Formats: sequence, structure tokens, C-alpha cells
Amino acid sequence: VSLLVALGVIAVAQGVFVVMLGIFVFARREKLLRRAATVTRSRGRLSAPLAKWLVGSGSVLPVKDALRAMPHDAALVFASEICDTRVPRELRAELGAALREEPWAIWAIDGATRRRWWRRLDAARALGIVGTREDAELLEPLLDDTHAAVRLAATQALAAVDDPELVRLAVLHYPGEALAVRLFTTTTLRTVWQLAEGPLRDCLTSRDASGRQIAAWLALAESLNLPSLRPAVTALVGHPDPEARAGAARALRRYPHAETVEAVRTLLEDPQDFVRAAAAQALGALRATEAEPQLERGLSDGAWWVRFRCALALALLGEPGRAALRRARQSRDKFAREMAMMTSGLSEGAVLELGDV
Amino acid sequence: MIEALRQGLQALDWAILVYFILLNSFYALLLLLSFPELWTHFQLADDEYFARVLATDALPPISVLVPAYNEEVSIASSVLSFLTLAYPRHEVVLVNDGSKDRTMDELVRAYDLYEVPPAIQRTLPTATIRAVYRSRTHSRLLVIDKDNGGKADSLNAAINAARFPYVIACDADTLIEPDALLRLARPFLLGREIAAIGGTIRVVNACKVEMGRVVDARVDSRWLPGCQTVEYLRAFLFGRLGWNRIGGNLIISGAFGLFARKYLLAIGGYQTGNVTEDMDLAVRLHIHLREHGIKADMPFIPDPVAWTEVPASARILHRQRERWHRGLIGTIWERRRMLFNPRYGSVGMVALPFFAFGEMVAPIVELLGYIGLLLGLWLGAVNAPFAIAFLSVAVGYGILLSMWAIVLEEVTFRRYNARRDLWRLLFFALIEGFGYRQLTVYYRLHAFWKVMRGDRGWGVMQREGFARPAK
Repeated sequence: VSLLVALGVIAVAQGVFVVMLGIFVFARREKLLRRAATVTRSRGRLSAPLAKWLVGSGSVLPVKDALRAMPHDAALVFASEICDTRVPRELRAELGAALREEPWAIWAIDGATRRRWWRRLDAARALGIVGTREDAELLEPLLDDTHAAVRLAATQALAAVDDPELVRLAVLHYPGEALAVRLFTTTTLRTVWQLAEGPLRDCLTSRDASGRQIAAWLALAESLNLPSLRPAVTALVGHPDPEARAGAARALRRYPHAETVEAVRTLLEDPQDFVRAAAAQALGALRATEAEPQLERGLSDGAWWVRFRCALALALLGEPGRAALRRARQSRDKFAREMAMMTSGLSEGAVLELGDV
Repeated sequence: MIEALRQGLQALDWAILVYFILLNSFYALLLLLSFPELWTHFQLADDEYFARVLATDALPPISVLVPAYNEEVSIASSVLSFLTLAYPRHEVVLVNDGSKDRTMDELVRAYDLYEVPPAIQRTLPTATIRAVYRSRTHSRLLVIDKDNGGKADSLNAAINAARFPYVIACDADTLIEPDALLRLARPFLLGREIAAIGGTIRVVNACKVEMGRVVDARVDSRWLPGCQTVEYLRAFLFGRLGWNRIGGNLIISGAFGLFARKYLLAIGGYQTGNVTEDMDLAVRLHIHLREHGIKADMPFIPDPVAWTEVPASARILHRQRERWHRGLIGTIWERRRMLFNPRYGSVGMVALPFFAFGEMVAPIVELLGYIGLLLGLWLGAVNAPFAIAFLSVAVGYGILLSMWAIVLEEVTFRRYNARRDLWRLLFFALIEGFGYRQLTVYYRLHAFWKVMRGDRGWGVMQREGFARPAK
């Protein structure tokens, strides 16, 4: 009997629970619809004052008021969006100063030391909008956060906080970061390149760094494309670690110079196939017509990727490269013949797209 | 004799009650585990800021593998939808698996294909490749024309030809949301070592589809597709998310899953003899990672969505479910050495035993339960009020789990905008346990019969097409 009663109670409880869940689903939807209407209204109110302020014919205060009317999280998202997409760099400091003491900004920054990673994410994001050099201490732990999304947002705040020590730390941590965090660090470091140049040169010439670390810093050097880094990058074609040599070949694509081409050509004879492939790709990107005989020989390389890269590089060299591919189509070497046939029918645009791996 | 039968029935009732409590406790655990997992994913999935971040060059290039067999009607538009996915760097490797219709001619015409030498690495054995084509208009497209060898064989040919380190296996008739690849690649952005990632499959049947894209998500008003819509929500929103926390995701859907190519090559690609190649592949990947001490994840993430058509008729549903269950039985039987083997970690100790004793055996237990109940009532061995209360709890629990799936959908992704669709979901959650559930039990029991007979066929999945929007 007691089991029967227990089952009956469970059945009734389940029924009540099902009804409550049904009510919750509809009630929540209604609430969300109302909230969406509020946010839409506030956004609508914001667009005209924002446009006026952006063209210099209005004050930033109405923008601040419209953001204040939104729920805190929506205000943060919208402020972050306009900051990223509409506000030019020279106006960001003014916007940041105006919004610094807003309740939603204080609420978001307050999350910097919270246990929930999404609260720390909000803090990092808010610092990207309203942060100043005084926030360096707050930002430092976020740059080293356990969650990659937080680190990613924190790197964006580097430009606002503009602190030399934090920039040095960002360069130092760069090789250990997730791909996306690296990308955002790169974007931010471009804006503060004067602060990044010295630490990066030190990293590239470091004797203690592993090949993988060097390769990551080379990727950063490739993206920053600072002429002062070219000698340090070129010197790395002789690094004992093949990953570093491949990284150097890839980075030198962005440093067109007679010395660069000579250095990359030596890598076409590298014992490692992925280094040869990277070198071939770089020579194509540099449009190094003087490397055409070497690239033509590369069509018979034992590694598929090297043949593929050489064929694509030749296709990018204009008429001399195309002529080499036509010759290769008649080659007695089956591999060279097939690779040349595969690539010689492609337009330059298609070759660029195909080679962008 | 009658007394012995009564005692036997009572023992059976108790055994079924214990089985019911254990199984449903585990489902409750999966549900509880899915809450934090879903919330964590939702924080990034619903984030406009992160959506902007996703559209960057930081993502790894991906090869989209599309096996096609007799798809002349839809192949051109399907390929276009794959080519126009919002992803910075991807290629489409389409394999024409010896189609008997004009699939190949249609491709040549639509994409201006020209034959190139088959300069592709052939690491995995496949049926004979007749020719390899590239497109003059879309350099991201590679088409392989080969002898018929089945879906797994086609996928193996595509893996051989793929240039990129990650591949995504799709069905030619699956509609992938334009941003699904971006979302699927999110774990890479966050720096995780990944062996495979599964995305969500949703039911397209009543949705409004334009140019190969779902523009209005709807819930079918018909019984079978409607019940399957709730079933898919339940399976993906808390089933697989719960498994993420346990570390034993055993199913990466064959219609929409991303894999690291190097691991696929290491395990020899897809097995051509298996009727459900996706589960078999996931289990073999787990084995490979464990046996080689590789720390790579196989997560399921809920927000990348691919839409697929589910059977609208009982006949086709029968074929599909019977085949799925046959695949489950085959995979578990083949990998039985992993059961309760601590060497395989949570997969051997939890996931595979659950699939064996929870999923595979469940229809037999349910059938025994129905028989035992009827016999017990007839012989007076079962107390009628007890039986009714037990049935109410069992059905109520099923409804509760479905309701939770709808709640999870509603608090996170909210794909169904119309209130009418929300009502429909609730309605199907309520009626799913009456008829639909018993039907699928029958289909799964049929799978045991076919396994005993040694049947290894696929059966034909007839489709209605994407042109039946809900009223």
C-alpha cells in the first residue's frame, strides 16, 4: 500500500510539475518579448543622437542616456557593438570617459573577480570600452584567465588600457594562446605597435624559446609586418628547428626584399617537406620569378604538398611560371605532369583561393 | 502451475521496476548534467560579440564531404548551399557514388566541371575512381566520380581527396544553416584539441525553405513528424549535452559532424559494412584516442544546426528505426570487449553499458513489461491500482523529460517563433507516450529479428522534399 501511495504521489507531483513547466515556457516567452521591445525602443532612440555625435554636431550625453535605459547586459552588448563597428578610434576615449560611471559599466566591471566566467567576460568587454591605464591591474588577471573567451575579450581591452607592461605580457603569452585569442592579440597589437615592436624583437632573437614558440611569434611578425623586424625574421631561416624555419618562410611572404627571396630559396632545399612547401608558397606570394627553375624542379618532389605548392607558386609567377607548367604537362614524370595539369587550367584568382591554406 | 506463473510475473514486475528506476535515474542525471553544459554553450552561442569574433581567419580550413547517390533533382542547389556556407575557408568535396540517374551530368552542366588527373592521396581503400573534376566557376569544388560502393565508401574517397585538416560529413539532402560551420568551429577558437564535434539535427518537415535555407522554423502538425520533433529536441538538447559532461559522446551524427582528418585516417576511415556508420565511427575514434593516450575531445555543441527531413509515414519510419537499432546492436556486439573495461574510461564503464542495457535492451524490457502487465492483470498476480499508478509514473516521467527539452529550447535557442508551434511542441510532448513510443518499440524489436536473420540492408528512405510548410 505504501508503494502504491508513493507512486500516486509521484504521479501527481509529475503532473503538477508538467503544468508548471508549461506555464513557465509561455510566461518566459512573454517576458522576453517585452524585454526585446524595450531594447528595440532604446536602440531606436539611440541611433539619431549617436549619428549626431559621430559627425561632431551633438553631445555624447543622449547616447549615454539611451544606453542607460537598456537592461545592463543589453547596454554592454550594444555599447561593445557600436564601439567596434561605428566609433572611430579618436572618439573612443571620449565615449569611454562618458560611460565609465554608468551603472551598467560599473555592474560589468564588478564581475572582473567573479567565479562565473561569463561575468569576467562582461568585465573584460566593459574594459575594452571604458578602460584606462588605471585599469591595468584589473585587466592583467583577465589576460591570463582560465577561459579563452575571457582572454580573447581582454586582449581587445589592451588598446584602451595602453599599458607597456601588459603589451609585453601579451606578446610573451602569445604562443600559448588559442588561435582566436592570438588573432585578437594581433589586431590589438597592430594599434599599439610601438609598444609591441621591442618585446617581439626580443622574443624572435631569444635563445631559450622552442621552435613552436618562435613559429608563433613569426606569425605575429608576419601580421604586424613591421620593416624593422625583417632582419630578425630573415635570420630565422637558419634556425635548427624545422617549425621555426617553416614559420620564417611563411612570415617572409610579407617582407618583399631581395634578401628575403634569397633566404626563402635556400629553404626550398630543406630536408623537411613542410618547410619546402612553406618556402614554395612564400616564393609564389613574393612573385619571385628568379626562383622559377627551382619551383619547376619542385614539381617532381617526393612529397605531394611540395609539388602542390610549387605548382600553385608557378601559376602565380605570370608567363614564366605558366610556361614552366606547360612544359611540366609534357613531362615524363607522372607526378609533375598530373600536378601541372591540375593547376594550369585555373585562373589566378582560383590559384590564390586554392593556395590560401 | 498458475501459482508459479504468478510468482514469476511478480518477480518480473519487480525486475522491471528496478530497471525502470535505474534507467530513469540515469536519464535524470543526464538532464541535470545538461543544464550547466547548455548554459555554458548558450553564453557564447547567443552572444552577438562572439558571433562577430567567429567570422575571422582564426578558424581552421574545413573540407565539406558530400556523398551523393541519385540526387539529380536537387544536387545543383545542394552543392550551391554548401559552397555558400558562411565560413572563411572551406572546400566542398562531392562524391558521385555511381549514381544511375543524371547526377553527374547535372553537376558538369551547373558547375562547368573539367576533368583533372586524379592527383589525390589514396590512403583509404575505396571503389574504383572513374574521374576527378574541378569547377571553372567555383574553385572550392572538387567532384569525384566513382563506382558505387555505398555511403561509407564515398566518404572514404572524400576523406582521401580532402585538402584540409578538418572534415565535415554531410548528407546531400541535409540543410546546414549558413552560420553552422562557424558555430561548429567554436571549440577550436577556444583552443581545445578536437577529434570530432557533433552538431544538432532538427526536423525540417514543416519549415519554410527558400534557396536551400530554412527561413521559418515550424513544427509539423502531423503526428509522426511532430512526435519526432520533440524526440530530436530531447535527444540533442539534454541527451548528448549530458554525455558531454560524462565524456562519453558515442554519436556524432552522420548527417552533420566534424572530424579531425588525421584521426579518421588513423582509424581507417568509415567501415563499409556497417548500417549506422556514425556510431561505429565515434566508438572507433574513442578506442583510438584511448589506446594511443591522445587527449582530444569529442564534444557535442548545441547551437550549430542542420535540418533534416524525418519520415512522415509509418512505413519509412519503420525502416529507419529498425536500421538504426540494427546498427546499435551491431556496434555494441562488435565492441563488446569494451563493456565495463576500465581501459576505455567513461566510454567503457558508462556510455557503452548504458547504450547496451539502456538503449539496446530497452524495447525487449518494455515488451516484457506490457506482456507481464496484461498476464498479471488476467491472473490477478498484479494489483490493478498499482499497475495504473506505475504506468502513470512511467508515462508522466517521459512527458516530464520531453517538457524539460522544450524548456531548454525555450530558455536558450528559441528557434520556433510562433506561439502555435510552442503549443504543438507541448501537445506532442504530452501524446508521444501514447502510441508513438509503442510503435518505435515495435520497430526496434523488429531489428533484433532482422539481426538474427542476418539482414544487412539499408532500405530506401523516401523523402517528401522541402515544400510542405506548416499551416
